[in-house]
Amino acid sequence: MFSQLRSPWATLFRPSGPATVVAPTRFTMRILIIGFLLSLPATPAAWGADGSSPSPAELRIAAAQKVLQKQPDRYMAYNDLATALIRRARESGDRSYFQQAAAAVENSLRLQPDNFEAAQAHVALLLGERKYSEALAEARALNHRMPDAVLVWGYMAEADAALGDYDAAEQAAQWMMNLRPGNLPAFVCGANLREEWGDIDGALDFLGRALQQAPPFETEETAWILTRMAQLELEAGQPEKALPLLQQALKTFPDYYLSLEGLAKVRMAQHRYREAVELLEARNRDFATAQSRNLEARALLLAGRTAEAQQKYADFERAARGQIEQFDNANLDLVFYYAGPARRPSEALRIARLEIERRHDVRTLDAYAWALYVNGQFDEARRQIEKALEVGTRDAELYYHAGTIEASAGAKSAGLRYFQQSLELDPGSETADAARSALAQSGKRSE
Amino acid sequence: MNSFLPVRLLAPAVILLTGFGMALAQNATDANIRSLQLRVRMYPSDFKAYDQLGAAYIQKGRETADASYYELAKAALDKSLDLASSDLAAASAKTHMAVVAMAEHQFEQALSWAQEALALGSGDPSPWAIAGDALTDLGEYDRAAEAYARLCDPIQPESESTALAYERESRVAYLRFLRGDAQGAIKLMRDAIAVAATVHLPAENLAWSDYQLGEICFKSGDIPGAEQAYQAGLLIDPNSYRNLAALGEVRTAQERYPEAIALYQKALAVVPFPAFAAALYDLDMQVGRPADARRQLELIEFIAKLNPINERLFYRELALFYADHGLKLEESVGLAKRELEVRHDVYTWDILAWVLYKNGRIPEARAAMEKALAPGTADALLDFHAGMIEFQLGDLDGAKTLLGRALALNPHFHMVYPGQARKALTELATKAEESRPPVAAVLEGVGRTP
Repeated sequence: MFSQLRSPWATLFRPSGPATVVAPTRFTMRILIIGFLLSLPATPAAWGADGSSPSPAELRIAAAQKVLQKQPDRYMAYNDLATALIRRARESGDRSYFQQAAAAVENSLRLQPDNFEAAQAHVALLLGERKYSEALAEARALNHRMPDAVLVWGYMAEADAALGDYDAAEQAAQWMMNLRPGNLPAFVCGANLREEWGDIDGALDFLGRALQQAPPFETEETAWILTRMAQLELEAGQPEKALPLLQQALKTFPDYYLSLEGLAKVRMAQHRYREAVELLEARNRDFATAQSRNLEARALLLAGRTAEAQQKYADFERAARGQIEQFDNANLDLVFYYAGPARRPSEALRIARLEIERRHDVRTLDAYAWALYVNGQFDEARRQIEKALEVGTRDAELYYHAGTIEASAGAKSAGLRYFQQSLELDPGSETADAARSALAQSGKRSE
Repeated sequence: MNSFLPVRLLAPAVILLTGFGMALAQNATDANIRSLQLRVRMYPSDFKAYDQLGAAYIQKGRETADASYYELAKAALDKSLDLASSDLAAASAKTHMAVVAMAEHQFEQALSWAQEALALGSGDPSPWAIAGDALTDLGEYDRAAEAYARLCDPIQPESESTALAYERESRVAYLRFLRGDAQGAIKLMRDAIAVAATVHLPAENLAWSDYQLGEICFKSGDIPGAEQAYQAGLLIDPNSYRNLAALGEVRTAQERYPEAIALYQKALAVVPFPAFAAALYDLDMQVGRPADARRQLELIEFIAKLNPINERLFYRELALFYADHGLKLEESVGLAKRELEVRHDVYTWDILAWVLYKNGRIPEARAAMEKALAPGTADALLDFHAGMIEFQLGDLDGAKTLLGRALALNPHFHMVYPGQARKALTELATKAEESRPPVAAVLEGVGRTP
């Protein structure tokens, strides 16, 4: 039944063949993206926004507050305020905006119980706080009330994907596209799914289209899309292609923390660790997350600044441990930290189990499998990593984990194949040397 | 007719957005309004129905030129946005709000609403048309061009045979005209009309396109081309008041005054625009019917001051009329300045310059005229105004160039002013003759040259 809903102009479709089959698409998309980037206004100020002027979300917050000053009983203004505050949380990385947004939603519902837009804003809030199961339940209820509300389908898709139900996510995302062809959130949502399925070219295609939809005055939105595209290029082992995207993002929305973080990753991939550290220091000046502290610690370590790295790892661990029981946490980072440099495998597995109870997406399955592996539970680790691989995600680190786990579980040839795939995908990844070494060892053994 | 320029920009915006198109007869619009009123009464939380009702009121406002319908549209759209403002579906109501703001000459607000609609990322690029229109009226032509360039199908961006391509090309044609490329504008407009026919746009849209093509032809001095376009428009939509009035202008240029009067009267019967009455005033005076002309004068002031919205809508028309006829000159400056507060396009600067000139404030007039001429628009009336200002300032060469250019571009650009331009050029020639030094002095001067 679902296939009937697919329209000829844009379907999410999972790639059935090898990645090389879609290479021409990728080439075309490159040209389109470069062409589009060239067509972007030289200065965002041309559309009334620059580094010093209020951000798009700040403008919306101010507009909603102005309405509320005049009409304090206008529930829609509270909804507008909530939506703008949620966007501001993404713009700034300051998660305290979520609390303000929650208060705005509450006010709206007090004035007009059960109003749809407040309920919708509440789902967005839950997603921002990574309460995916709750968000999904509420989004489903809203979808029942108004089946053609496109954003609700998007919220369902996001929650489904985060929980690991990719089929349901695909259906929801396809509905988004069918209900309102060419809408920007659908392209972003579709890109996320295509990334999970390992279709990096397809994901870039969708983000390129989203970029063309984003109006130039939506500077953060534009920068966010560019940063996501850069992230995909990095995942594909193409830091040199990620670089101009991030530079454009920072020109569009100066000092954007997500772009700074992305740029730091590019510098790490280019082994320019000193610059990476500087970028991460700038990124972490305000609203650092446990994850961004972890990244800075890694950059410091790679830059040879071991003492500072240890200090930063300690900061990360303290911050991450404080969130272990929360939904919005850094548990996956913590799992890899305990499984790796901190050498606390049993704690890694304990935390991974907490997380796998909540969700079964690729990243969580990978972390859980790795935690099982470092605890010597090779067969179970193999089952979990195979579940992760089934989704189709193409990621050098995931392949390296798969190679290691398969080899440990006795499937040596499968292990070697994954090491090879990891290197083919990104010969400069952080696990590349280990993969090369594993392949070399195997070569020596076979000699 | 140049006073209609901004109003015409509204037309394609509505094409894109009302959904039910322009081809509907007035009764059909009334029926649609009644049916939607019933629907919102039955389903008071149906935000889409409120949006559609708002669109229907906009259509009614367009058909009748009764600005009070825009207020009704605003109320319906407000209600729609009260029910849903952040969902992608709200893009439609926000875009309709932008259309209302354009119709009410609140260009900054129109831009702001269009941007709000675009910010939702709904996949509908049509708010870019309104954003571009607002920017055009705000005199920001580069940004307007950027906005129009975004009028592409999000699924098939390369497709050139869509209604969006028509919307883009027809608007870019106008921008090209403003920038002095009349031939390029005519070509683009013809292409747009071909696309419009291919995609079967409603009759009123096609008639509007012919009208715009005719306007550009007329301003470029191609009177037969203009007539052909207006006639084509009337063939498609015999009640197209813009084409009726524009054909009246052609007949005026051809000195076929009784026909011109009949055409303007017909246009006025469809929609009471002060500019139509102003043209009739001039024609009645021309054919020696001062009593009829007086009635037109009363009508102009009655329409323009019917309600606060009308006052705002017709600042420019009234200012130009007063200045052209030497009436209420001080008030005409106030009107032009009030218009300038909300609109900064070529024609607003031109009218300000002209009313200042008529008030004897010549240096100020020149400063305003420089702004009007900056984009390089090839329009004989602009050149005439500029030439007369230079004449008064004593820049005889400048005046000669501008007045000569006006007549060369379109010797029939106005019923009265081409004659004045010729007279001024004769005076200029005489002055040049008088100021020329005697031959002996010239020879003496030559002899002194080192």
